[in-house]
Amino acid sequence: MRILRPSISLSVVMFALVLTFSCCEDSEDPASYPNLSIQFDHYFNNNVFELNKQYVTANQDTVEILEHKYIVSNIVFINSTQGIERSLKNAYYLVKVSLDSHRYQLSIPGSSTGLPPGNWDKIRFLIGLDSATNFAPEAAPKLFTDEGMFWDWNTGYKFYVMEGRYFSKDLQFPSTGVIAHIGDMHNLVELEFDLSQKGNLLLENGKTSELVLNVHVDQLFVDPNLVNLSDSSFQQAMGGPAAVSYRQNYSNGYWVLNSISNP
Amino acid sequence: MRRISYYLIFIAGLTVSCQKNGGNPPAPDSDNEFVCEGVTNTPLTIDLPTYFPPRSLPKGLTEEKFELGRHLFYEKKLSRTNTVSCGSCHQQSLAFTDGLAKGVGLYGDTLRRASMSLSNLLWEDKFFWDSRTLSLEEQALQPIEDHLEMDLTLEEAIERLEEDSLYDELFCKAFGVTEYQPRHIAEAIVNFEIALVSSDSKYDRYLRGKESLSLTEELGRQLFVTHPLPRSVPGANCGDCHNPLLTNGFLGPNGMKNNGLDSAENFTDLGFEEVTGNPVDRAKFKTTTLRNIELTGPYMHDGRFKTLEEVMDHYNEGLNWSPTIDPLMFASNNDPNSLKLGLMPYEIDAVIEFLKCLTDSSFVNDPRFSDPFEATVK
Repeated sequence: MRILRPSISLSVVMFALVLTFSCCEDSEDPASYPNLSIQFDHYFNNNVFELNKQYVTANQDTVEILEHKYIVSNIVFINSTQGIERSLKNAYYLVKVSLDSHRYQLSIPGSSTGLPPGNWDKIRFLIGLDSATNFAPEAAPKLFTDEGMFWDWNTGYKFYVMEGRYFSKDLQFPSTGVIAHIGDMHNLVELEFDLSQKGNLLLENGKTSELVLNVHVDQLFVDPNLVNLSDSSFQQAMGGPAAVSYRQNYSNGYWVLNSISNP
Repeated sequence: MRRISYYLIFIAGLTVSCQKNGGNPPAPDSDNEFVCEGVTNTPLTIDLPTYFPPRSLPKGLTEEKFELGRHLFYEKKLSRTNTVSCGSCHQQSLAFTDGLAKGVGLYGDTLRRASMSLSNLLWEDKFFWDSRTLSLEEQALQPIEDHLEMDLTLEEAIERLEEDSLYDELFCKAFGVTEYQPRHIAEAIVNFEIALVSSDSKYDRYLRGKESLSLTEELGRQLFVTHPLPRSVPGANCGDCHNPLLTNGFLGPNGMKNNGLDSAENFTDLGFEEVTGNPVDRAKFKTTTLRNIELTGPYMHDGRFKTLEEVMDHYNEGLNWSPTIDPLMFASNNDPNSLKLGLMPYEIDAVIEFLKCLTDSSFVNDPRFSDPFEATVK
C-alpha cells in the first residue's frame, strides 16, 4: 500500500491535469478576451421613452408607440491613428425597447465574437444587415424570425420597426395606425461614432467595458424631414418615399454617444 | 476504520441512488405485483427544420416519456366521467382541434373559447388564447383540473392511473417509478406535445426547394407576406403578425393582438387583460398558428367564422375599431381612400389557396401521434 498510494495520488493529479487541459480545448477562457456592453437608452423629447404612452411630435402630432426595435450588425472597432480596423464575427443583434425598460443592454462576449483588445477611437456599425446576410437563400436559417424582422425573400429583413398609433380628431376613428417598417438595401444606415470625444474605448482581456448611447426616438419625426402624420403615406411606411424620409431622420442624431466606461 | 465507514456509506448511497424505481424498492407481496426494472432512456428523435427559428430541445426527451405522454393525452380516465381526454378536444385528423366553434366541456357546457390547434409548440412560449400559462407543463395539467373540462384533482388522476396496470410499465420505463407525481404526468405529455412538429406541408416543401407553388398559390404567398402600399404594392399583410416561416405570431412586446373583431362596446371577452389586469391588453388574444388552417375551423378565439372566406372578409372589410386594436389592422390599406384592406376577390382567393398549402397531411396522419387506445378494447 505504501507503494501504491503515491501512484494513486499521482494518477489523480494526472487525471485532474488532463481534465483541466482537455476542458480548455472546448471552452474559451473568458479571461482571454475582453467583453463589451453597449447600453442603448431610449428617450422621447428628452424624457425616458415608454411604450404605450402618448407623446407629441415636432409637428404637434400625438403618437403612442407600441413597438420599437432595430437590427445592429457589422460592428467595427477603429484605431484611426494606427490605421487598424477590426470587425466582429457572427455579430447580429436586435435592440428593442421592452414594456419594462427604455434601456437595452447589448452584451457582447469577446469569446464568441472575437472582440479585439486594444485602444479604439471610433466604432462603426450598421442599422440593418449587409446584402449577403439580407438576401441569404430561402432555406437558410433566418435571424430574428421570432421578432418578425424577416420580411420576405425579395426584400430581406426589416432593419427598423416602429409600430404605434396616431391620434387626431380629424380621423374617422379616434386613432389610426402608424407603421414604419424600414428595409431595402438603400435604407441601410451606417453609423460611426467618434469615441475620442469621451475618451477612447479600451478593451482589455478579462474585463468589461461599456458604451452608453442615447437614442432619441422623437428624432424619427423631424429633421431633415418634418413628418406630418395626417399624411397617410407616413401612416404606413413600408418602402417608397415615406420610408426614405423616416430613414433619413433616424440617420441624423438618433443615436448619440453619451459615455464610455473603461475597466 | 474511518475510511471503511466512508466506503460503507458510499456503497449504501450508491445502492439507494441506483434503485431503478426511483425510491420505491420492489417488494412484491404476490407473484402478480409489478416490479419496476428501471427507467429506459431512449433519446426521442425530433427533426427540427433548419429554416424554423433556432430552438434547443429540452433535455431528457425520451421515447418512453413520449409513449407515456401519448397514452395520457388520449386517456379518458383523466376526466371524472371517464369520457373525455385531451384528444377529445384536440383530434389529430383536425390538426388537434375539434371542429367546434367553442369547446364542449365534460358535462356538456359550452366553453368560453375554441380548442387551439397543437403543433410546433417548441416554438411557442405562451399558451392558451389568453397566454395565461408560460410553460407547456402548466398547459398540460390545467385542463385536467379545470372543473368544466376534465374535473379531476391531480391526486385523483394519479390514483386512477395507479390502479391501471397498463401504466405500471409505461411510468416505469419513462421515469423508473411506481409512485407517480403530477410532474411525471406533465413531463410525459410535454414530451408528446413537443414531438408534434408539422413541417411537411406543401409550403415546407416549397421552402426546401422540393416543390413549386402554382401561380395562384404564389400570388397568395406574396400577398400574405406583403404589407400593402396604396396604389403601388398590393398586400394582404398577414405576415406582419403571422411569422412567414412558422406562420404563428408572437410579435410585439408581448405577442398579443386585438385583431378588430369587436368594437369596444361589444367586448364580451377581455382576453389578455384577464391575465395582466391592464386595460391596454383588452380584447387581445394570441396570434395562432396558421399551419393546417384548412383543418382547424371554425376560426378565432370564439369560433365566429366558419370558413376561411369569412376570415378574409373580416380582415378585408370587417374590422371594428377599438382603443386596443392593433395598429397593423388599420395601417394596411390597398385603397388610399379607405381604412379597409381592400383586396380584390381574386386576391382573397389566392391567399386562401396559399393557406391551403399549409395543410400537412403526413402530420395529421402520422401513426405516432394517433390514439393508442383506438385499436384496443379498454
